[in-house]
Amino acid sequence: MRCSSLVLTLLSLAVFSVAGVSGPRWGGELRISIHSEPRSLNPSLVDDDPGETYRYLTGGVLVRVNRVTQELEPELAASWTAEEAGRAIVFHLRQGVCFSDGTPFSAEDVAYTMQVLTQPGLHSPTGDTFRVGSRPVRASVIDKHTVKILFPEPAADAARLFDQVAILSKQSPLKENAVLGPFRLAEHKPGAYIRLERNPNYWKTEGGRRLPYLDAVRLEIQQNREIELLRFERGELDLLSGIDPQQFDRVAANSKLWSRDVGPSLEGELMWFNMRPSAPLPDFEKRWFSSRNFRLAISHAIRRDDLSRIVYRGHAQAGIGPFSPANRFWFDTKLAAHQFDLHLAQELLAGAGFRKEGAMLKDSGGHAVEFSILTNSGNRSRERAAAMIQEDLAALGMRINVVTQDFPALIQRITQNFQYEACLLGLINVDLDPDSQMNIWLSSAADHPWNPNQPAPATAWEAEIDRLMQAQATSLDRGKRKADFDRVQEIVWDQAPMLYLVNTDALVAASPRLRNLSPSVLRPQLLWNIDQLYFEGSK
Amino acid sequence: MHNERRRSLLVALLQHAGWLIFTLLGGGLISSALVRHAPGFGADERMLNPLLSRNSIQVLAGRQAQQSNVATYYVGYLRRLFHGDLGVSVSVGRPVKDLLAERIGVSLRTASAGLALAWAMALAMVVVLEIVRRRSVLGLWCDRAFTTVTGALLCLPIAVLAIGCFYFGGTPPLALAAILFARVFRYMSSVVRQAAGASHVLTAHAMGESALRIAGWHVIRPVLPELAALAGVSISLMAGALIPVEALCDSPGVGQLVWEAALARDLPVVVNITLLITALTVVANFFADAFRTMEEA
Repeated sequence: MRCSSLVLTLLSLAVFSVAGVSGPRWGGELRISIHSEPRSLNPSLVDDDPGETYRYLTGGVLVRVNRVTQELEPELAASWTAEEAGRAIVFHLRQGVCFSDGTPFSAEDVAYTMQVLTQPGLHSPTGDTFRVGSRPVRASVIDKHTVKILFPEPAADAARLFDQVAILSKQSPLKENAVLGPFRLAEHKPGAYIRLERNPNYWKTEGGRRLPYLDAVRLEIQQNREIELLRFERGELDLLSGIDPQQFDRVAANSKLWSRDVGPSLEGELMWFNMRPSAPLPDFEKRWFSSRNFRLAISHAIRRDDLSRIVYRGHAQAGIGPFSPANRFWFDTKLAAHQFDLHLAQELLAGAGFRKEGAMLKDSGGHAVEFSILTNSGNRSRERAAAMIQEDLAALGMRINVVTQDFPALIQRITQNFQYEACLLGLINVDLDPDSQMNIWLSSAADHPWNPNQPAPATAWEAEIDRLMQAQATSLDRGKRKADFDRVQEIVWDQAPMLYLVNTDALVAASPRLRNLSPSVLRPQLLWNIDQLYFEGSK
Repeated sequence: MHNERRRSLLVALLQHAGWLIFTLLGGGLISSALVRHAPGFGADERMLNPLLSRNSIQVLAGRQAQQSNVATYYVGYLRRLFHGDLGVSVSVGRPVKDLLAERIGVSLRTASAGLALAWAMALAMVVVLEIVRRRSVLGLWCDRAFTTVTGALLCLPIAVLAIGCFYFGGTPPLALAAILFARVFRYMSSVVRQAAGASHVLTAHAMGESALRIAGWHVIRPVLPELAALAGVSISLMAGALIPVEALCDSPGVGQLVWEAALARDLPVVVNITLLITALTVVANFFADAFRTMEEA
């Protein structure tokens, strides 16, 4: 009896000691999906989501925005300093780092990468972020491990731009396939999958061993979100991010799967009116849309809480402005969402000369208020949101028609022929800094949604936004930049050129065997610490 | 007399070839015009990327504008095609030749497996039905069962069949086979049933020949010309079904490529694949016709 007790005790001790010392497991293949074929695997040409995922997994960068703390952290650059009154950044590079093919990494590679990115004919989003005006940035090598990046004008917080810059090798015969990130390309079957394998020369280590823990990542090209969910439930995929609220609830109900609502993301739904003077719309409609009272009245007539509760099943928060509270530094905490207040909406409309005749709202010229909301087809949540807005505005006596079109047709309407009245679309912020939104807020910009490419600001408040955006872009004082952008957010809140409806939550799910997950509201929500992820047990 | 016959054969052949070329060119031109005049042509999702500069957005718009005149584009395309250049995809920025080369193998495998499976199933069922039809009760039930199953398959939209197949673990060839089987079976069984009622078949039964021999020799063989025509038609059906099957089952073939290209209004890809599908259909029908003519002769 004593003997068997002893054996049991020893066995228990052995089991517990193994469990206690067993750290992260090495090996295994992570299977995730991307929703289309990347247009390019060349990191300097990336211009779509799948390409960005590929670049994130393979590319080595000088600095990285920590997706949880939202702070800039050193990566291939051990440190950096701003010089020449914000016109230059000097990066001090890590030593002893090699590309995946063994080619040594040096300042020459950083200079070469900048040269590639700023080629005039490149036309890539990453390259274009380095164009201040029409002049590109330059890079000069100070020594083997020090490089200086020179901007033509002072550039605010420019170091964060390097979060998107995967360093290319100048010397390697593999060109862009020689990488500094945790994984390298192993196999690419166009239209089917991309298989990445561990970079044997990845510079980060854990316990004297080179990370990542995983042996490989397989990016399955999976366009159909229903099939993607089905494959996740079958265990054929290990991660899901950016899930539809309906699908999320289905996953969350399955106790065998891990899922999280990470909270409001930087993404949201918004609506704006066509305020272009040359738009092919009747003049009275143009007058409605350029009336602040009209826009604010509509904003106050929309039940944002209902949108969040019904359409997004509680996985969204009322939208406030260009940034959600998820953007800890840049969000203006003084602002709150426009509250549903039908009485206030009616007062605002009356102030602008609108009056109700029977069930219909009419303007001062006797025109019944009837317009269409254009949105893209195929997005169930957005279509339902448009239908709910239609009902909300009926309470004001407005007759709304919901028009859905596929994306190219919608883009043509909102950017080329301007044959639309109001548009409901999603907003995706990939950058925390307002500098990345210059092409939205400047009245002269092509992406200024409600009235693009203005030769001169059409309104005083747009001129003020222009001034503030230019000022924050060149100021080196972060506090001053914040004050300027807060003012922009306040003007937008007050003038309501865009009605921010909801900020959707970041919804993610993963295999319960995956460890070290640290979901973030920023993209890539589950993959941002890919070199730390591992599977429990062998895979 | 012999020379006259050869000349008339040559004329017929030339007429056929001319018709083939006319169909091909017409198909390409129609698809170019349809894509060009589709709403959204010339718009690119990337134009909404706030990180792109005004200059880059203009360059994107300019790429599409190069194809705005259908006639000019089509003539230029044919000239390049003559030199083996299929153009460059507007949405992906890669040569169409490379895109087709990467995906054609997948589509050929799916199409051939799907067609073979559909035909094998249809033929097997027709033969079984023909054999058991004479055993009154069993034949009646088999007939009803096959009619119900194929009727249900015909009623279901292709997309639903494809998704359903995938949901139950089926592969794209299986989905394609399920779509084609019902169509092939219905026509084949009607042709075969008609042949089975012929007097020589009744005589063969009366003479006590085996059921298998009657089905194969006296029923199937005489309807081979009709079956050849059905083969031609089933290739056209296959080409039409392959696109939704590959798109919905995420199979990386030419069907998926043309689906994406149509959504992106990618004129060079759509025109090339339209020509490819038209050529496949026309050639298949040409061979079916030739075979039928030979058999009838």
